[in-house]
Amino acid sequence: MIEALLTIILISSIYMSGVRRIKLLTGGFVFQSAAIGLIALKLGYDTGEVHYYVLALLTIITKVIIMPLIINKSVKKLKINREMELMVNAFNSYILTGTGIMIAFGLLNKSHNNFIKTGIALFIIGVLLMVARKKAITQMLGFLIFENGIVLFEISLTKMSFVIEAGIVFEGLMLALIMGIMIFHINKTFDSINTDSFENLKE
Amino acid sequence: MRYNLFYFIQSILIVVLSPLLIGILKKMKAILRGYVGSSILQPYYDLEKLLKKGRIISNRSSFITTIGPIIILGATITTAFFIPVFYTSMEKSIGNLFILMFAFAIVKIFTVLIGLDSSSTFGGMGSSREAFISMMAEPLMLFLITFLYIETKDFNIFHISFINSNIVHFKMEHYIAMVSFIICLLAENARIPFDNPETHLELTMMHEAMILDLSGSDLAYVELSSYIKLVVYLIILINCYIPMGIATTLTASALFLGFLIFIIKLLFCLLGIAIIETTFAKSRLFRGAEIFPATIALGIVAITLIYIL
Repeated sequence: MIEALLTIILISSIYMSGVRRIKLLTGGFVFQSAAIGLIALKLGYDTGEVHYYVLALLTIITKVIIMPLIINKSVKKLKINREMELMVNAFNSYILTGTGIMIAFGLLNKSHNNFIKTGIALFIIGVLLMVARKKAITQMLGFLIFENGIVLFEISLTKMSFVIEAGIVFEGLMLALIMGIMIFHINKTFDSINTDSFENLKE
Repeated sequence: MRYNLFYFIQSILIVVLSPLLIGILKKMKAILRGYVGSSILQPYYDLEKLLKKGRIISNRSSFITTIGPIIILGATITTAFFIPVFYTSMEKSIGNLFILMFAFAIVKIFTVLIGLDSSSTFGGMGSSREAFISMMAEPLMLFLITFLYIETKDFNIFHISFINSNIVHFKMEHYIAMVSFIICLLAENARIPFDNPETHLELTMMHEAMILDLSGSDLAYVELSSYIKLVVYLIILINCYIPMGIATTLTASALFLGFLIFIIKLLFCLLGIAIIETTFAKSRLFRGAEIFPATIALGIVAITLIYIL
């Protein structure tokens, strides 16, 4: 059960690393977050601890319902559907993620914890999306994937205080909100959300 | 080396029943799209009609078009005898995965040559597209064979399905390899994200473009071989990746149960293909090729996971 859910997370994230359309990226993110929520639910059911249930509830509410709404709203407002010019094209990004994950798993060969491994894979894909894409909204999605990796990482730790968990989740939510507003302002100022245009100085 | 008689019987069943399964697939697609659709026996009628007709060969074409279709049919039927269907055992027998892979390569290369041989423009276009797609799918297939070898320490497909049928809870890497095999299956059989098997529109066809100049019994052989090829790929998927419930002893009850479970799994796979073909759109050639690096990345991850643990 948990293995199948981790597989969904890994496959959806590898798929997201080369996709151009923002709608598909958001869909992959929703899938991934729902799988993380279900993993937390299953762990809560197995161990009987309350904080897993709380984490599952927070993840599902913020990442499956609220964040896609924010992203879709800003996409609609900006009338931007896809990332046209990639710094690393889809071909190379898939191969890069594959090799990166291979190296990370090779370094982690002592650990038998699949949560940590999947979390590391999400870190790699999130960083790739942040570095190799030009549109600000894709970079934000990259950060959200990175943040999903952090959630998986802390699921693997047995004892984690509730305050930190809630902090991580709300930080992601605030980030989505702030970035939504900021991207709108970037678009207003530069007439595009391409981060390259930050280099042009304006009065 | 001994060849079990029962292997022979079950492989004959595949060859005879594959048009029926394709008929079921077409019926499923018709129902999903909301129309009645033709009878599930329609592929048999089509083959019968084609076999009654004579063969017309372009006077520009060479001996390749004369002997190609029968070689394709022969190679495909050979692959049907190399796979377990609903009974498997640990006996030493034929069934090496590499032989399967290269038999399919024979099919592919003769289809490409037939496309080039008739010197029509469509044929050359279809051949180049097919070669492009199979160039991408070949390393993927090698990755998956490597994965199966590391998982079971065996190249024989009968032994692989015997060993895997004892596992109840599969690991993460097994699911990942299964997903990449499904994509490989869709690519090798000219199914929808890569090629539309139903259309004769010049911009989209790949497999159909190559066999456009064949007629009569030649066309029937190529069609039958494409049916058998799809069913053989589905059976490799079922018996290598989800072989739970396959019969491992030659008792009546085990065989009956194995057959029943096999039919249910096969119908489930056909339903999956029907759903994919009705919901997805055919992607552009170079956009479709972008799926392969993703799948190769999945293969790398699967091999790393199973090799390290």
